[in-house]
Amino acid sequence: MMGFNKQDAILAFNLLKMNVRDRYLGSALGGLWAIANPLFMLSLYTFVFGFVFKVRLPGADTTLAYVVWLISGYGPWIATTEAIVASANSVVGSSGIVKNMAFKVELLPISAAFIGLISLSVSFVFLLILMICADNLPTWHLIWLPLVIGIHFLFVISIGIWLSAVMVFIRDLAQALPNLLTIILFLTPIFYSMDSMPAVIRNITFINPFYQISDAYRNVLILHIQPSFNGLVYVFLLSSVVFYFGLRVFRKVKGFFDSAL
Amino acid sequence: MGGSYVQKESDKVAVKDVNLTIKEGDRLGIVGRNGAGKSTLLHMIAGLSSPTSGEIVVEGKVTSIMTLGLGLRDDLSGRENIYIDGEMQGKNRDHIDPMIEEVISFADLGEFIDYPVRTYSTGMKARLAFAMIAFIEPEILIIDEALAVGDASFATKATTRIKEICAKGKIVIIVSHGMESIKAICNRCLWMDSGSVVMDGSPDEVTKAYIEAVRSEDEIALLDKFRRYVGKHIYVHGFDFTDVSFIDSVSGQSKLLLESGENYFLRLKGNVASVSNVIINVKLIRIDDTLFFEETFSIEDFVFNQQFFGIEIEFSPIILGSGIYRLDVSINQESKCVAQSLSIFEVYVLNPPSGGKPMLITPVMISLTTN
Repeated sequence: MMGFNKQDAILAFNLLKMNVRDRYLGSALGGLWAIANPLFMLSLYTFVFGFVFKVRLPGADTTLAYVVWLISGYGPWIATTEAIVASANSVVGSSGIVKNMAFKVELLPISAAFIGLISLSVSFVFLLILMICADNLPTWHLIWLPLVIGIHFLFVISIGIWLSAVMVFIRDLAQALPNLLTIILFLTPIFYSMDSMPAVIRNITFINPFYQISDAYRNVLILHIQPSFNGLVYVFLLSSVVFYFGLRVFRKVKGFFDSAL
Repeated sequence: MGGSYVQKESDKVAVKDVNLTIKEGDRLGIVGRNGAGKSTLLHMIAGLSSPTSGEIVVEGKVTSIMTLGLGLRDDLSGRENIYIDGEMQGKNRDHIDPMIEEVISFADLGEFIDYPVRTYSTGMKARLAFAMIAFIEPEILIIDEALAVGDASFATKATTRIKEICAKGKIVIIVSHGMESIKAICNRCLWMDSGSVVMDGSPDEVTKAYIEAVRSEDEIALLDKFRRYVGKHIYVHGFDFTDVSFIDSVSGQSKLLLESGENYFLRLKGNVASVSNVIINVKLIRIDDTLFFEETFSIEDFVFNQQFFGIEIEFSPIILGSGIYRLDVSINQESKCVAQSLSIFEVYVLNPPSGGKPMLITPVMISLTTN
């Protein structure tokens, strides 16, 4: 499929394993950091918004409801940032093998994106605990979850494959990317609800794929309704197009990585 | 396959107008000086870089060994690194487990295999890295100067292993500066220079031609060096050397690069203001200041017309180890140097013996020349 075979899948999985291992290599707690880092961010936001600011959702009378709502959107966002950053840095970060090993380099940004699955899992567990506290247990709507995750990661990979190739030639991207992601975070209704946005911006927000993804997660996880069909189809089609052209461009320029790295 | 590749920084074309077809069964060796474009060509065949113009068509899966020890993680043990390397080749644990003992015994690192790689010496790292080649199942195999590793005994093992792996591949392409490995492994050889193919033929022919060319280029370079180093000093007026040179006994030509085992004579000509108590001293000194030959002649036996002298010292044959030597001839009057000529020449050995440098020299014959 798309020029990949089973062997490539194994290699992509191995590369992901290597990526995770190398990240925490040499630190005493090792892989624990993979869990500790998102956990820290989630706890921090829960504390600040739940106990310091005591934010409430319109119509709800407890702060906990807001925290559950926040984490159901912010958890997947952590996964998004991690995946995009890891994917964007994957080619530059593995310059050694890119320059010396004959393999499908496009596997690097694809496999690196899956590193976001760790944070995603951690935030699901964190969210489940909060939901138990809030007496808002998940329902059968969770069967939509794999589809939502699938489209989420297809989207993230489609961006990552572009960024990883651009990064080789424009290294400044590594510095700019975290800032760009922060801007996107605040432009997307993740900390605040859609209703609090001015009407003009609200209409534009519907085409923000990041919004559609967090909305789908919220519907499935805590609101117990079906994800927006149109929203998911939109993100899926958008990601497919971006991915398709990203892969083509990537394959076209990868021959020049050797001299640019 | 043909094409060219432009490096952006300098706009220098690294490989230009290369057209070649490599067929199944070919064991292609590529020789050439540094910067000839060999590695660029390999990178393009391996798909690591693309030609700026032209086309490369590769049918089959390319495996490349460009740099050894690429994926070594310093913080992990040798054993864990072997797993990582297998994983990088796209293997899973089930494939690696049956091979790991073989790799470990080949690397022969003893208990170090379970120590972190950062505790290894450079040689040990190289051995580990080389042993990992075992995972390669080549269809089209590309090896870039990765052949020489470790101490002498490991190098032998390594060469055998390379040959085994090459035997498995359908097409093998090797870049090496070791002519012997090319002759041992390849059935076709390419000589590249300045990005173009100079010669394409059997390994024996091409390596021979290549070595010849390098030698003659070196000879020119050496001559340039001589012009700077060669020195003649006249301390007393009337004493002088007009000719100090090694002559090839066969061709009669003057040489600065001598082949050990061939016949040469050293011709010394000059002027002397007087002959009484005048001696000529000839020394051959290796670059490390080892004196190989010293002979002293009384000038009276070689003088004609009262003021000219001519001496020919025959070396039949000259037997010196390969290296750079200094020829130091001087005219001494009452043990005071009155004229001196310093020159440098090089000796090469066509079939070098293994072991230390031979320090033999045959006795010489001295004859008078009057021309």
